[in-house]
Amino acid sequence: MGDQPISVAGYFHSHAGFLAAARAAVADKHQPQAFTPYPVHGLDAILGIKRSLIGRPVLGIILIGFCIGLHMTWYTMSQSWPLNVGGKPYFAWQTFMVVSLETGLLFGALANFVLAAHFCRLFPAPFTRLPNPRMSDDTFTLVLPVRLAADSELLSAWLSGHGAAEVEVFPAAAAASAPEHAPEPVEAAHG
Amino acid sequence: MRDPMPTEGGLPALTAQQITTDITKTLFRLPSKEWHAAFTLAQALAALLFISVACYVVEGYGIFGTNQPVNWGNDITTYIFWIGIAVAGTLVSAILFLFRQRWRTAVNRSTESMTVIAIQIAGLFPLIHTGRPWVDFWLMPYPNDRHLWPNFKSAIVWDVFALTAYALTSMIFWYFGLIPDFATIRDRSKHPVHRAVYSVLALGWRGGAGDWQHYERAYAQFAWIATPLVLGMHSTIAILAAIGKVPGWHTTIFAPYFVSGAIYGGLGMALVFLIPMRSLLGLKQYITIDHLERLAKIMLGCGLMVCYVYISEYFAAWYSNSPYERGQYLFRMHGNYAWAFWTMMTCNMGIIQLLWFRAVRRSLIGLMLVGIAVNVGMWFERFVIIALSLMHDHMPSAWDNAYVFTGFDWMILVGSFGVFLTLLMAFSRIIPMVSIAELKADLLAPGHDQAPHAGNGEGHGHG
Repeated sequence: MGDQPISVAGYFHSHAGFLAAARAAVADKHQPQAFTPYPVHGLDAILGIKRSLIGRPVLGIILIGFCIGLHMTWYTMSQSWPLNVGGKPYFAWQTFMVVSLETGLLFGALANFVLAAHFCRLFPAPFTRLPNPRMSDDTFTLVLPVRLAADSELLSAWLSGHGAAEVEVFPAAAAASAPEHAPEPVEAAHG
Repeated sequence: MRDPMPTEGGLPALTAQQITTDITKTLFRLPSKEWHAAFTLAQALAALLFISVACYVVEGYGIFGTNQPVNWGNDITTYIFWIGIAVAGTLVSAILFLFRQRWRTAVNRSTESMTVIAIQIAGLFPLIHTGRPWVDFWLMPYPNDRHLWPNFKSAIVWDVFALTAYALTSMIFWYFGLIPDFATIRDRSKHPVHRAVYSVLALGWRGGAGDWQHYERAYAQFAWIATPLVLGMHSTIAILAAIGKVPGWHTTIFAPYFVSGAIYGGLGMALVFLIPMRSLLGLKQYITIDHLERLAKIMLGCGLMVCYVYISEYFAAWYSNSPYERGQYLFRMHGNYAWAFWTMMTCNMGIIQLLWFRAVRRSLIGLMLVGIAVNVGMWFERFVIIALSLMHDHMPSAWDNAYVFTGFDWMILVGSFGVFLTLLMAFSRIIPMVSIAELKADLLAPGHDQAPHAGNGEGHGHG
């Protein structure tokens, strides 16, 4: 069971060849996952990845931050310790706009980072190793999940036939013993 | 890569691997003796700031030259100078990004780094200026044992919030842009310590197609958030002065004046360090003369706005019919600090006009000299606005109370440049000074216009 292949990765050195292979993999219903060293525009459309919705919660948090800033100025300046400055109203909302806006935007920036880290599955991982170090340099990777053990050879041949310069088969044992070595093929197999 | 970009001028085509190698090569090499010598010199200059601060903590604020009525002197002048340097970095990283200026890719990492360093230096000065820096946390609203809050009706407290929000956002934005590049370095590291450090910094980045989707969206959102923050932050500083009834400050034009001046001065600083940096780090083919020329053009545009404001200020002073306003501007021209005013005018209104000439814009020495002049001019601009305005306020009996720099003022000013140089040189050893992933996406993606302005044959233009 431990040696049963769970996914096959094809490494492409050609941008155009990689996109063509991704398109073919989707057409052949291989449910591919793709990894690229830099953003490849058009790839998300090929793979059917929906537009990121990270903007909506961030906008919500900016508004919450703004309200917190406004509430803080209202509470401190007119409730907790009303301060008479030149006879002006205790709660002069116009003067509190700068602090409220800055608080809102700061909340938004922090939330943007935290949410992006969550959606991109980021966390300090000192032992992260990609199966191929060139994946973050000049190599485009297409990972195809293996449903039946016998399929791994077929999928390897399919990837080679579509221009993959190298093909690598990931057994379940390797992934289970060191998941950080091949994190994506595991996910591809299960998902 | 088998399908590299075509290039002009017969240069070999760039590949992704070559881009990575070129940009990261200095990270994996021991620095040269010259680098060590320069770094030691920068640290020695930086030490001046820390010695000055240490003396100030022991002796008190009296060691500086500030007096009555010039109670904002070198520290606030230098504070606004460094804030201005930071603003230009955000212009390149966020505002030009929103305007889809792809050429910014070559310079955005280095200017963002400049922002991160400059904002930290700038933040030191108001903390020093408070007089008792060990209780600076009183500026923050927290439920203290005296049940007191900061006065949110004060523009000083607005500035605390504006600066804090801007500084934190700039640093997060800068780090966020670095994550994919840290992953690239992680995967190229041979030394286990290097690999472990960059692995932590890369946060386990893998570059999945879905990850890039979220990443690019979040990056654009950072640009959207940083833009109002930076404009608001410098406008808040401008309002802080403009609401004061000091002749020379009390003017509604201050917010756009400060923002355009900040971008102007900051781009000058960017040119001053980009020109040697591209040679020292071997990045000439990525940061080309075309990029520097575009920065120079923006600098010229901002410089013209600054010239317009100078003229407009004089017109407003004359038109106001206020003897104090008129007196202030006459004092600037003819008073005992007239040399500071004329230095400012020479650098900011005179020397900048050289950038109308293409030959100057495409000359490294010319750009370097103009950049230095702009920095000198912009420091003196802040000095003229702050110190000279206070020297000649509404109280004629105080007019003779001259403001003179002490040795500690000089140390803290020169030391701030030392800190800037030290951190910049340190950054250049640990982070890629050109964004690897963004550059590859820009240069290597099929269908991108790949070399529209590499006409000089010096490097690979992109934009």
